[in-house]
Amino acid sequence: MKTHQILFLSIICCFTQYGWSQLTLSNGEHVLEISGRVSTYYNERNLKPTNNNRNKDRFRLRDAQIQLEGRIRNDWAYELQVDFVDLAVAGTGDIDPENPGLMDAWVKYKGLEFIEIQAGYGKLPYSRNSLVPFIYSPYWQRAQLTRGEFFSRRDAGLTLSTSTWKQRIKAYAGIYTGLGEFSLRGDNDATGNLEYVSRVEIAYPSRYRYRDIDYFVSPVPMFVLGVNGRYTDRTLPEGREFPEDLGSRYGLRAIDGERYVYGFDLAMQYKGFSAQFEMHQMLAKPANPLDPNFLGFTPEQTDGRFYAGGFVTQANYFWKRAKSIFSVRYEEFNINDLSPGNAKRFSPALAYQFSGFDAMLKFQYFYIIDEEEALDSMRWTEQWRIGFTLNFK
Amino acid sequence: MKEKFLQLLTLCSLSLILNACAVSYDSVKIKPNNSINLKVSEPSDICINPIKPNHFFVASDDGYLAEIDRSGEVTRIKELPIYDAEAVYANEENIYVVDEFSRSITVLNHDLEVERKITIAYGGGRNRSYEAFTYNPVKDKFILLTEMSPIYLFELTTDLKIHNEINMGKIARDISAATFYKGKLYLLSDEDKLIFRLDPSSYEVEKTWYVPVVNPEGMAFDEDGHVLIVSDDREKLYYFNPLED
Repeated sequence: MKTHQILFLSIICCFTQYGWSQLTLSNGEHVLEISGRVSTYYNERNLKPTNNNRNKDRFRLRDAQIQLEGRIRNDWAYELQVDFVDLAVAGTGDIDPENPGLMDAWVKYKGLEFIEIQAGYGKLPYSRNSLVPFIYSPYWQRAQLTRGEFFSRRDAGLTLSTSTWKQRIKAYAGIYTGLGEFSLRGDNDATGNLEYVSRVEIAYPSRYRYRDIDYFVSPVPMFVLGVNGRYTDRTLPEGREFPEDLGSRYGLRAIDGERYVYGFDLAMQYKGFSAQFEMHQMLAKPANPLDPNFLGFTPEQTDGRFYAGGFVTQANYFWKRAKSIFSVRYEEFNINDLSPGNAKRFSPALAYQFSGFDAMLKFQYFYIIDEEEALDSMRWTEQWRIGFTLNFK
Repeated sequence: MKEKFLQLLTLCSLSLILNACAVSYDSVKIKPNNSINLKVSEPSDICINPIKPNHFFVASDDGYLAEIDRSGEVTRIKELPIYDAEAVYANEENIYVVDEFSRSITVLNHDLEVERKITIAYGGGRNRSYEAFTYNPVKDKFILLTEMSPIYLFELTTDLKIHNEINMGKIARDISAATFYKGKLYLLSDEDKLIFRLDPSSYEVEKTWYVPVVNPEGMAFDEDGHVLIVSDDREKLYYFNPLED
């Protein structure tokens, strides 16, 4: 690292000590809040010896987001969040499920005493890791298991939610297109079927927010356990196909047949330490015995089904005095149990907070311990990212 | 790769040193001697009722005001035309309830009738606005504080007009309550879980205490000097022994 590079980054760090503002418009009953974020990083990869494609050694603008968040009395809430970087990429037809261009566009009615009704496009109530807003993460990327390749993270539909016991128990149930981030294209696929998602979580001794880091340095141990499941039947009529790319990278998000995904998550925090564990399994029953997901095995060998899934675990420490977050993450996943081997990944991260989560210098290291080579052969073995994120809120 | 990794760690360390200018305090840890469950949803502040000193007013995030006795029983309740009450202060004439959502102060009499409502515009974040309110007799001013990013202390005249503003961002990550007791101004920080005792003229921090309570949002002193802290998330009221110098 050259001296001028250190100086440059240090100057950035010093300037970010100073204040930021947020624009909030209010008429007393209706409050509209405008916020956003910009983040950028440098990425460098170590390639396998057989590969000479270095196109991932690069600077990247990861986020350029604007968020409009509104409340009308205590009856209505709405949110519109857009990422201009991903909109530009989506214009080419390539949708990254972790970073779709449109992130939220929903309306919520809170006027009923026991239930809230949300309609529109937004996050699905599935997977705690997916539900934690990324602005509170020391990482540059979510775990592979939960970043949208195994199951969609956003969709258009209807969500009902409720809470009880001082918000320690929360429950969600929803019905969605089942197309995930691709629902933004408009039409359903040829099945015309929907996806059903539900989640229940219980926390103790008080409600537990969707955060990975114990930023408030909890004076008592706090725990939360969540269980969730989802189901869709997307058996295609004869001769019809799914829209292009719907299955995403592993082909798991659109199965021509029935698909169940279920899992649980556990999180705890105490005195700056926090940890999360999350496990998911997908049971897929393709209708066509020649479905490529059967990898050439006969129905007698597969019993007409295959499984995918895995787990991710993360441990963190928030060192308040140093305004720093230290995290390590390990995940293991299987793209298809008919193929031998599991993928294993390790990733530590370090974040320095200039102003809480609103301004952070973040560093993440990725290391691929093992891969499911037949289905997802990687061309790199390790990589790191370093960059800066600023939330103007 | 390893070499670059070490270089980056060095850079991060340098940045840590260059930016480590946060104020830190040596605080005394205090422990509650009693706690009771409140029947007030999401309590966000508490103050003593000067007319009945064994009763307290509690503001709720759900937009109402409750009066409770020492055992936590609700003795009176008043629905208010507001949405997110975050601070409450009472003198012998009036009760003042601050709404973070609408940036307003609702003034009630002791029959809990609304006498007037005043909006004090503030462009900060929807959930980073007014969080603490009390009266500073040393300056004959009301004190109104924003929660964070930044923490502003506004001095208000007795007719609730802004007289002065001071950026208090260096003392804590946030401020969740304010109260005045025996010639000193006390502030509470939810995120830092600290009570600050300030000189009411200079607003310099004199002493701090660490409060091991989840989500401490409100603070008051009773007649005997016991410290009362309300936890929003746990909906509990904690009693502490009088603070010692």
